[in-house]
Amino acid sequence: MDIYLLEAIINGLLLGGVLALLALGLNLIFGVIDVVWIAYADIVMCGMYVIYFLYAQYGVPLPLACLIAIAAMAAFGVMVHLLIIAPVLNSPPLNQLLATGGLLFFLQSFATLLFGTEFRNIGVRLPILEIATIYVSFARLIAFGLGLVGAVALYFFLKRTYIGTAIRAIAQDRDIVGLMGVDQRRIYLVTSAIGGALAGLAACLLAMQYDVHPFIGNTFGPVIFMICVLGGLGNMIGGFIASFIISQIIAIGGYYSNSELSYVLAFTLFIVLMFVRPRGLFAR
Amino acid sequence: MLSLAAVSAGYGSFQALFGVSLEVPQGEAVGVIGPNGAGKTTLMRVISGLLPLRDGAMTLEGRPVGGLPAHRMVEQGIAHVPENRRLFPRLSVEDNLRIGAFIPQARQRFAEQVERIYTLFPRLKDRREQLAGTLSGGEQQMCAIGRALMSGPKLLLMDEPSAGLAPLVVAQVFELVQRIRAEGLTVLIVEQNVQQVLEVVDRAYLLEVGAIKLAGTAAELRNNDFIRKSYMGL
Amino acid sequence: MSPVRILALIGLAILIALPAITPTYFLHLLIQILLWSFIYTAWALMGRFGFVSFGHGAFMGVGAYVPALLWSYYGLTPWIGIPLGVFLSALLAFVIGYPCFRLRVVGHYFALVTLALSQVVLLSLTAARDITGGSLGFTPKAAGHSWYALQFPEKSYFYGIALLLWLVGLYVWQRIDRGINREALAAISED
Repeated sequence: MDIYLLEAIINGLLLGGVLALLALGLNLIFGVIDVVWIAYADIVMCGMYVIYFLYAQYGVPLPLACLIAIAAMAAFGVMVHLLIIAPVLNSPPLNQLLATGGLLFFLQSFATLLFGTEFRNIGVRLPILEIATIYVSFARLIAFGLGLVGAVALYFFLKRTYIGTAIRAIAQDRDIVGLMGVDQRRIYLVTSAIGGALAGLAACLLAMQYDVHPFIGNTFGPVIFMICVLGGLGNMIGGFIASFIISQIIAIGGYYSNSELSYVLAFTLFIVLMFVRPRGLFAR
Repeated sequence: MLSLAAVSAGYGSFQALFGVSLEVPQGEAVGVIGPNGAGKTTLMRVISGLLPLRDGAMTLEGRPVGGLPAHRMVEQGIAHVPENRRLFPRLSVEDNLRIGAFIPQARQRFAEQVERIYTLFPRLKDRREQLAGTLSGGEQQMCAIGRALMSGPKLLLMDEPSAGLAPLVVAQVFELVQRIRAEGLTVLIVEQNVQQVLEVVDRAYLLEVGAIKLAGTAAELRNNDFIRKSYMGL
Repeated sequence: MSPVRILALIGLAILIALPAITPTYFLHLLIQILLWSFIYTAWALMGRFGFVSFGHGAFMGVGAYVPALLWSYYGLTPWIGIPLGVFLSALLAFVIGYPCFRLRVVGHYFALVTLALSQVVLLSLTAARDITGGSLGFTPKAAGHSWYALQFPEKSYFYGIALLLWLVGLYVWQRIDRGINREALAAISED
C-alpha cells in the first residue's frame, strides 16, 4: 500500500480520537438528556481561550491551566442550564435551540470584542513521532487515548452508577423521576456540569494542536452534532465508532482530493447513512 | 398514618380538589373510588408531592408534609405507583428497580430488597435484563409496583392498578395487594374497578367532582344502594 | 375595515414612500431586513409543521449562485436565471425531503440531515473556488442600470423588489396558515 495512504488512514484514526472527545460531552447533553446546546462548540472555544490566557499570557503551568479550564467550563455548563435552558426546558426543543443559538452568537461576538479575530496559538509544540517512516502527531495520539478512556468511562458511569441511571431515566420520563426520590433539578445541573467539563477537556487537547479564534466553533460544530446523531443519540459507544467512520472518510477523501471535498463526501455519506438508518447506525 | 384535612388543589385556573379530607390508618388498605375526571389521580399526585396543595393540610405519622416536593416525599416513606405504570421503557427491568432504590436509605439495602421483589415476582427475575418497554401489561404492573417497593416505603399509593389489564391479570394484581398488606404495608388504592377494590380494602371513600361524597368501611360501601346502582351496575 | 387593517395599509404606504426620503445606507439596511424577514417567513413555515430545518442556507446558496453564475459566465438574464435557481433549489429540497418523508427521518435526525445539506452546499461552493470565487465571494458582472440584467445602481429599485417579495411571502404564509387552521378546526369540530 502507498505509504501516504497508510499515513492518511492512521491520521484519520487519530482525528477520530479528537472528534470522539469533542462529541463526548455533546452526546451526554444532546443525546442522553435531550437538551439542545447548539453553542457546545463555542463552549469549547471559551475553554481554549481560558487555557491560552492562563498559560501563554500569565505563565500558569499548563497542567494547572488545563484543570482550571475544565473546572471553569463545568461551572459554565451549570450557568448555561440555570440561566438559559431551565426557563425553556418544557418548551418545544426549538426554543432551546434558539436560546442557545443566541448564546452562540453572543459568545462569538464577545470573544471577537475581547480578543480580536486573529489566530492565537499557545505555542506548545508537542512532538511529531516518526514510527516506521509514518509521521504521527503526539497530540492526536493523546486525544485518541483520552477519547477512548472518556467514552468507556462515561458508558460505565451511565450504566452502573445510581446517578448515571437517573440521568438515563430522566431522558425517558422526566416528570416521574421525582417519585423515585430523584431531584430533577439536581440531575440536570450535574449533567450540565459534566458536559461542560468534557468540553473543557476537549479544549485542552485542541489548544495544544490548533490556533484559537472566536469562530473556531464553526469548523467542528456541525461535524460533532452529526457524529452524535450518526452513532445514535445518547449511545456513547455508537458515537465513538461514528467518530471514526466520519474521520476515515475525511482522511481518505483528503488523500484523494482536497480537504473541502473530503468533508463534502463525509457529509453526503452521512445523509445517505441517515436514509439507511433513520435513527442512527447503532440506535437502541 | 396519612391524614388529609380540607385539601384543595388544581391545575392553573382549574380546580380539581375541593376541601378533601381523608384518613389512612396504619396497616390498613384504603380505597378511593369514583368516576373518570373525579380527581382521583390529582389526589394521588398531591399526596406523593407531584402537585402542590393550594389549601388544607397533610400529615404523615403526625408530621406535616404538605408542600414537600416528590423526591422529598419518598424520603418520608411514601411511594407512588403511577397511573399507566410509567416505567422507563429503555431501561432494563433491573435498572427500573434500581432507580426505585435511589434514596440513600434504599441504596444500602438494594441487594436484599431486589431479592425480595424477585421472590414476590418470579417472572421479573427471568426478565431482569429485558427492556421494560417490551414487557406485557401485567408484567409492567408488577415491575412498577416492585419499583415503588424498592424505596422501602411505609405507605404505598397505587393509581388505577387494574387499568388496561386483562381480568386474569387484574385478579393477580389484587391478590398481590393482599400479600403486600400482609407484610404490614399501608396501602391507598385509587380504582375504577369498584367491585374488585372493595374486596381488598378495609375502608373506602367515594370521590366525585373533586369532593368526598361517601365514606365508610368496605362492607358499608358494598351494601350502599347508590354505589351498587351507579358503580357496580346492580 | 378593522383597525388592524387600516394600520397595516398605513404601514405599507410608509414603506412604499420610504425610498424618497431615506438615505441610501438606510435603504440598504431595510432591504436586508426585508430579505431576511422573507427568508424567516419561509423557515417559519417549516416550523409550523413541526420541523426544524438548518437547510435554508443551502437553498439560498443555490438560489443566489445559479443566476449570478449564469449571468456572469453565459450572459443569461436573471429573469430566466432566477426561476431556474428556484427550480434547482426546490429540486434539492425534494431530493432530500422526500426520502426523509418516506423513511421517517424526523426530529433531531432530520435537523441534522438538513445541517449536513447546508454544509455540503457551502463546502461545494467553496471548493469550486475557480468558478465561484470560494470564500471571497462572487461579484456578478457589472451591467450598469439594466432591467435585462436586473442590476440597478440605485438602491430604490432593489428596495421595491425586496418589498414586493416580502409581501408575497407574507401572503403565501397567510394562505397556508389559514389553510391549516381551517382543516384543524374542521377536524376538531367533527369530534
